[in-house]
Parts: sequence; C-alpha cells; structure tokens
Amino acid sequence: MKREITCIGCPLGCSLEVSLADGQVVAVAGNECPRGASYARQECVHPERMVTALIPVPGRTTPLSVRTQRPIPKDKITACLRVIAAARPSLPIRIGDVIVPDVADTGVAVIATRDLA
Amino acid sequence: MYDIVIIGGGVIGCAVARELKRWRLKVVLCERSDDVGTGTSKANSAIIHPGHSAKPGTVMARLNVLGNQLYDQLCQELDVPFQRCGSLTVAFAKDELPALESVYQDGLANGVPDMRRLDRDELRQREPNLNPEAMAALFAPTGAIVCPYELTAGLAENAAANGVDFRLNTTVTQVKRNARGWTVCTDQGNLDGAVVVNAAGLYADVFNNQVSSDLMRIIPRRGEYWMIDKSYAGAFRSTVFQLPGKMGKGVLVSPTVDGTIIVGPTAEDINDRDDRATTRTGLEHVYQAASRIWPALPRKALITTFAGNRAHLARHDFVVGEAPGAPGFFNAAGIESPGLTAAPAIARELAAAIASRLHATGNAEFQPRRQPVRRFRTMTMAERAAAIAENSAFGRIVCRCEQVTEAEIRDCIHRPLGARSVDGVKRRTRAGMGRCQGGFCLPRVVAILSEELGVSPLQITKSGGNSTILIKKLGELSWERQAEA
Amino acid sequence: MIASTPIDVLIIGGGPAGLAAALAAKAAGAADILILERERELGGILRQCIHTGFGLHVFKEELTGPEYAARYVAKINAQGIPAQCDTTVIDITRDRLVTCVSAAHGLEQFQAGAIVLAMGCRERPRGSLGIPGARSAGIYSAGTAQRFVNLDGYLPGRQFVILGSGDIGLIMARRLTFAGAKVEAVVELMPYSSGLKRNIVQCLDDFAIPLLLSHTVTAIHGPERLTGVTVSKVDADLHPIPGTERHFPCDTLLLSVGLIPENELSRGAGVDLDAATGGPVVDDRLQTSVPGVFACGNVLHVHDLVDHVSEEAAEAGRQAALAAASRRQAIPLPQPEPPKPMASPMPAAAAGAGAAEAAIVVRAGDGVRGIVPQRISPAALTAAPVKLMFRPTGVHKNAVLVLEADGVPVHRVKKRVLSPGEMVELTIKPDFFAAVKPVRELIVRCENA
Repeated sequence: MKREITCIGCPLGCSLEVSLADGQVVAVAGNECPRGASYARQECVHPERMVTALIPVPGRTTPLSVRTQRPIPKDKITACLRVIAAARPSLPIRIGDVIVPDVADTGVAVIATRDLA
Repeated sequence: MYDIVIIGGGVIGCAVARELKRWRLKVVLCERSDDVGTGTSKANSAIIHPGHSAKPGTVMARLNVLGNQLYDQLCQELDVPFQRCGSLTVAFAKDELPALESVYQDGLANGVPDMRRLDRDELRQREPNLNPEAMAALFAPTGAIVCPYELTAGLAENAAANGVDFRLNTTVTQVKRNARGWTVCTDQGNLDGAVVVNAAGLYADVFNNQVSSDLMRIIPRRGEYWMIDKSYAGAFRSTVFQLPGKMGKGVLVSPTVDGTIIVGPTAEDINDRDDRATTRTGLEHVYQAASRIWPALPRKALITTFAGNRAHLARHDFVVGEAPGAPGFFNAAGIESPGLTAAPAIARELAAAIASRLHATGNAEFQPRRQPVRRFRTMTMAERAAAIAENSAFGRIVCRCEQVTEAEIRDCIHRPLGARSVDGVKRRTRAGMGRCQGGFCLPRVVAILSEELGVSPLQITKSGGNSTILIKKLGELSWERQAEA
Repeated sequence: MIASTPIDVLIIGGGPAGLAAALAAKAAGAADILILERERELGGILRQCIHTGFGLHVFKEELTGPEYAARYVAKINAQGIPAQCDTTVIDITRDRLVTCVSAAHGLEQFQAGAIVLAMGCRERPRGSLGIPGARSAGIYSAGTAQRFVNLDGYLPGRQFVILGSGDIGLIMARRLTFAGAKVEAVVELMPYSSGLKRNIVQCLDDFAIPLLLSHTVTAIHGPERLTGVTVSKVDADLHPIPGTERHFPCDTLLLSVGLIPENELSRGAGVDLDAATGGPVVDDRLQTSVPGVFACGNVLHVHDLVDHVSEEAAEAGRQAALAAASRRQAIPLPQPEPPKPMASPMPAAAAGAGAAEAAIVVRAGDGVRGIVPQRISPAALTAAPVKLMFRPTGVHKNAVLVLEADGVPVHRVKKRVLSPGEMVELTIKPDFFAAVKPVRELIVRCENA
C-alpha cells in the first residue's frame, strides 16, 4: 500500500510517497533529507497530535482552555474531544490543574492552560 | 390619525420631519430598516456642493444653492461635523477650458457666491498633490464637507426629541386615498394622515405612481467609492471635481470631516434598487479615474470600499411638491446629487407648503438644538481629563483607530432613536470605521450593545434583520456531528 | 496643565514583546519601569492563542499562548515590575512625553527616559483588499473570530470559507472544526501558503479541509448575513480567470490575509517608518529614528514565532535601559537619583543617536524584503556579531544568500529552502569585513531567486 503525505520537518514540505506493508513503513520516496524518512515512519505508523480545546463554564464569559499534556494518538482526537466536552471542572481553576487525569485511555492528562476564578 | 405620514427615514425624510415640528403638527415617519439613514444617505460623497454644476433654472439649482447656505446653522444646531473646505473644478487639458468656463457661467446664473478662477500656479500652491497637468480651476469657497451619517442621525434624533413618532422596521406597501386624506398601509398596520410626504428615495416612484397622474421611473444609479486612510489627511485641502460628463459629476477626490480621503463615485445604471455590491470593474474604474486628479493615489492606504445607489430620474431634476392629481401627497423624488446639499432647503420648502395647506400654527416649543455629542477624539487634553473625571467610561477607548470611548458608545445607544446595531453605533460614533475596520472593537461593541439593550449577544446584528454577528454559544454545536460526517 | 510623572523606561504594550522588554530592562538596571497595556490583562494576543506551538526555543517545551504569557507575567510579578492595564496610550511626542487614558486613573502623562514600542500588529481588513460584493454580516478577520471563540465563548458561524492561508486562518480552521462548525475551504491567492507546513498538515489535511492555491474570493453574496462566496482561480499575474468561478455556500468568511504593524503612535512621535516592514526604521540597537525610542516585536516587523519576539524584545529592553541610564547621567532629572547598577557601555552621544556617526544602511536586494535592522553603526559592525532578520519574496529552493559590502560580496550562505512564511536570520560577523570595510551600505540578496 502507498500513501502520500507532506513532511512538516521544514518549509520545503516534501511530498513523501510512503510504501507500507503490514502496517510498517518499507520505503519512503520524495524526501530530500533523512528527517523526511523518520517523519514518515512516525506519521504513517503512529501519528500523534497535541489537542487543545475549550470548555464553556457556566457563569463565566471566557471558556476554560485546556490541552493534552503530551501528544496523543491521532485516532484518539475525537474520543479526547468528547471526553473534554463532558468535563465539568469546578472553579477556581489554576493553570496546570489536571482536568481529566487519563483522557480516552491514552494515559495522557488534560490540563488547564489558564487560570479561571 | 396623524397630520403627516412621512415615507422614508433618509436625510430628506428626517429633515422634513424635523422642519415640520416648527408647527404644531402630528408627524409620523416610517422607515423600512432598523435605523435612519441606511440608504442613499449613508453612501454618497459627503459633499455640500456650491451649486455651479446644476442646470440654471432647475429646481435642483435653486435648492442646491439655498441648501448650501443653510448648512452652517443646521450643523451648529445639531452638532454635526461640517467644514467649508471649498471645492475646485479642474481642467486638465486645453480642450476642457470651454467646459470649465460654462460651469463658471452656470454658477453665476445659479447665484453661487465668491467663485474665483485659479491659474496653474495658484492651483499648484493650493493643492500640491494635484496632477501637475491641471491647468486651470474654478474655486468655490462655499463648497463644503459634512458627516452624512451624523447629519441624518442628528436630524432624526432632534425630530424625535421634538415629538416626531418614528416607526422603524416598518415597510410601506401602499398609499390610498381616504375620505379625510390618506391611508398609508405598512407591514405593521395602517397609518392615516391628512398629508403624505414621499421621501422614499429609490422607491419614491412606486408610491408616486400609486396616487399621481404624473408617472415617474426611478433608475438606481450605482456609485462605488474608495476610502483612504487618514494618515493621508491633508493630502487635499478642498474637494476636487473633474468636469462633469453625461453620467454626472465624475470621479472626485475629497477630504472628509474625519480626516480620511474619499475617492469616487462611478455612475452605473442598474436594475436592483437594493444591490449595493461593489464590483471589480467599478472599483478599478474609480482608481483609474481618480489617478487623473491624484497621480500618487496610494492603493496600499485603502481602508474600505462601498457602493451607494442614487435615485435618478430621466428628467434629471428634483421633484419637490404636491403631486399632480393627488392633493396632500407631497413628493421629494429624484433626489440624487446634490440631494444631501439640498436636503435642508427641500425640508424647509415642503414643510412651509404643508403647514400652509393644513393651516398649522407655530410651535413655540420647538427646540432646534440637539444635545451636543461629546467626542473624545476632538477634545483637548484638558477636556479629556475633565470628561474622564466626570464619567470614567471616557477613559476606556474601545475603537483604537478612531479613538472612540465606551462613554460615547453607551451614549449613542441611549439617545432618542439611538443605535440598535453594530452599524448604527459605527455611523454615530465612528467605532469600526478606521483602518482596522472593527477588527479589534467589534467584540467590545457587541458586548456593550448586548448590555445596554438587555439582550443576548446572539441577538445583536450588524444592521438589523438577519444580519446577526454570532451564531451559537460555544458547546451548543457538537463535535460528534463533524466526527460522524 | 497636567503634571507629568518621570519614568525611566516606559513600555507601550503588555504582550510578549513588552513583557520580555520589561524583564530585560530590569535586568539591565533600569531604575523604574512601567508597562502600559490597553487590555484588562497582560499577555496581548497570546491570551487568545490557545493552541500549542509556543516556547520551543525559549522554554524548550511546547506551550499554548496563555501558558507562554503566564510564564512571563509570573516573572514580571516576581520582579515587582509595575503594569497598568486597561490603559490606552493616545500620544507619544519626540521628547518622549507619553499621554495615556484609563478609567481608573484618568488622563496621565509620563516623561520617559526611554520608550519601548511594543504595540504589536493588526490584521488586514476586507476593505483593504477591495474584494467586491455585498457588505454582508459574517465577514471577520481570523483574529477577531479567534477572540469571539476563545475568549468570549461564541461561534460566529456554522459554515466557513477562509481567505488567506496565514497561520491564524489555519489554526482557526481546526478550532472551528473542533467546535462543530464546517470549514468548506481555505482559499489562497498565491501559489504557496504563507502558513507553516505543520499547520497545513495538522489543521487542514487532518480534517480533509481543501486548500485552494492560486484562488481568490471574487464575489460576496448575501444582503444581510453572508450566504456564500464565489471563488475563482487566478492567473500568474494574480488576476481572476473568467470561467473558473465556483460557488461556496457559507455563512461566514474569515480573512487571514496579512498583518500590519500598528504604528500610528510611532508616526505621531515622528518615528521614520519602513515601507517594506510597515514598522520603524531601527539601528542595530533597535533604536528608532527618534533618540530614546526603541521598537520590538510585531510593531517592528511581523514575526513568525513568538520565541523570536521575546528574544528581540529582550534586546530592545536592555538597550532602552542603557539609553535611559546614560540620559539620566547627562541630564539629571529633578529627583533624587537612584544608585547606578551598571555603566553604559556606549558614549553618551550615541545614546542620543541623533548625532551618531553616519550609519551603514542595510538594504534588501533581489529575492529579499523587509530587513531589520535597517541601520548599523560602523562600530557595531566590527565589535560583535549583528543579526539581520528578513523574509524571502517567494519560495526559493537551493538558494544562496549573498551579503555585499558597498557592492563587494563578502559572505555567501546556502539555504535549501526559503519560504515567506518563515523569517530568515543571517548573522553577520566582524571577520566578514577583514578585506572590505563597508562605509555606505550592506545589501542582502538571494541568488537563484
């Protein structure tokens, strides 16, 4: 199986043609430097994303902004947002407070990125 | 039962309404949109013409010159920004000189005072940014500039303070004779009046043709404009006209009372009266035509573009007075340029005729002065310090480009016939009219309107109707909907 | 007459630039510092940038905007540096008299020893693009929409088209998608995006949002709220191609079409501005053409990363503190002088740079635009490395940057790729000038551009 992805390593943005077999990268073409190959291995096998989101808090104009403490698997973004949407944190909240200890079985916490009193 | 029902809340309708209150008359004004001055009155050159460009002997020429004379007192009474900056009509080539001379002769015939011919050197000295090919000009010191939004809002506010009943969001559908005068049918019910004033602008023909034998057809004539940032304030001292062509006065360059420079308009006859969309070709034409006046016209300093439609009649004259075959139905129709200039004269003439028709008695309680508007940007430092000491909201600048304070925004909402929308606030205070075009102040203006009107921010509109700014509170649309799609 | 309060270093703006400048001014020994901020809280635009990607250089970790700002605010508080929020500066004079207003303190004037301009930038509005069409509700700059969503908790629409592929627009495409809205397309006039590759992949590709390069919005529809836009392909001269029109239904159009340094106050103070950057002309110490007035951050030139803003602002803050200190020595203010923690390393004359030695002019050659600083003193050039920052005019692959001193090439450096979305840094070192010592000008150009 082949996949086309864009390398994000530098502004060049190489178009990578990645050959996959049994879920493993067997070849990468189109990259102009080694970073392209390692990005392709990560992105095609185990892509990860940081997730940031907002939680509306009753009685407050400004919603609470939160993020995952580390990147989570890309296919967990939807589940992660669903869990965050259901969170009902109680005030006051300090920046760095854990809002969800383990989001969508990723082992990653969701933390507050601002104070909200 | 009213004495007078006015159709249309533009500068003409509002000026007539105010003028009628010099007599003891019961006046109601119907306006289809959520605010006054949202049609032709808000999208024009903002110029008070001297009166040399109207054909001698026309109603237009007479009311232009008279209206011009009335402006100093009117703007003083209403506290509306107004400047006698003078105007120049410029010839750029030898073959234009006869046309320039004929403008001068028309001006003399129309009674335009104090006109002077300027030669190339005088012209260069007066307007160093003018195209050096300009070889001669006619200078008219009575040429002036005004803030058209504040003028209309000021007229309406003062009319309302004097007892005129304003019906906004009220669309007139039909005017009918009845036993004692007229019935004006609207989408909000019927209004009866002894007299009707047709100040419906682009729709004036519709109502005239319902009652009068003198049929007319309004042709919407679109004009597109550019607005140049006020960092170019002072680039031109006076309004600069080119010599008129058959579609009107051509593209002009003029300072505005707010320090920006206005460039335009095009003149294009269109079908849809409400189509105020700008066009690529129109905007490009404005640039090309204005470059003849101002070769260094800075494209980069463009802050906005807009279009307005003039109510053009084939006869190219104002129709002011009682309609033939319709006693008590008074027209102010075909009010294209110089309609803004003529507005006070049209109002004076119509009000006098109507008062005489109704045998009205004078109104000793008429108060011609509007409560002055406190504008932070024109105050001295000492006045600013005093204003903030008195009301701390003068210390909170909401619109940074135009230096409009929270106090001014709250005030413009609270005045008689106050602002109800973001554009209403913008026209009255200039918040959002500067170089960032509301990028920073829009959220603040929405919040203040919501507080002052006691409604959710979701109900605040740009300009009434369905022009909402915000759609949903966060969290009310679900991520799932997207995820499943 | 209003009495003015003397202040050593006055910082206009409490965003990332102002905060970093204040900390550096303090570290350089400024006696008293005051930050003036127009919003209710410090942090500037970072407060609404709730996405990650900040701090990789400065803190070696990936933070969100509010977290990055909070770290600086904590340092400001720990240092006891005063900041006055909800305060708008309305005037700056050549003599560094600053007038500001606030609800809490009324109209105030400060006589500053040195000023750091850190007012940031604003977004280009629709009007300046001259996009024809109706003036519908539902057209916002991307940053305005970002504020509505992230700080006010409202969605400005359900169905979006985004014009311009600047980073704020890309970031908003993802944010709006997360919030349940539909982003139909991102439309970019140029044949390349001015946004970071990472944002194109993670904000658009991840959600299958199309990026239409070499396209633009050619008409806007909707008498009240927006109902749709017409998008056309453009030719090599960026003119719309007739017959390529496509209609996109949408209730909102976001504009992410460029940022403009906000220099109205600078202009009032008589500061010379550079047409290419939109910001002040500065020398190697980030001093503007008005002595004692320094500039940094997005008011100086639009940056790609906030980390770079913080670094630049720290230098401006330090230089402002030194200038204020030498000014205090030269002209004692009518107040007891606090002890001087450190001496200025430069002669007093240079601190009042009006009379400085003839500076070398730095110019952008082919393929390059918006170089900062625009002036370097000959002494600075041979004393220590000087960092030049600029942007390429387009996407240049396998390019060579050439530095010329009075027309003679003195340094060449290869760059695999240059993209307008990312700032280029070129450090010029004293040893470049062993053979040719420039007296007039330095030019940076890009070969194969």
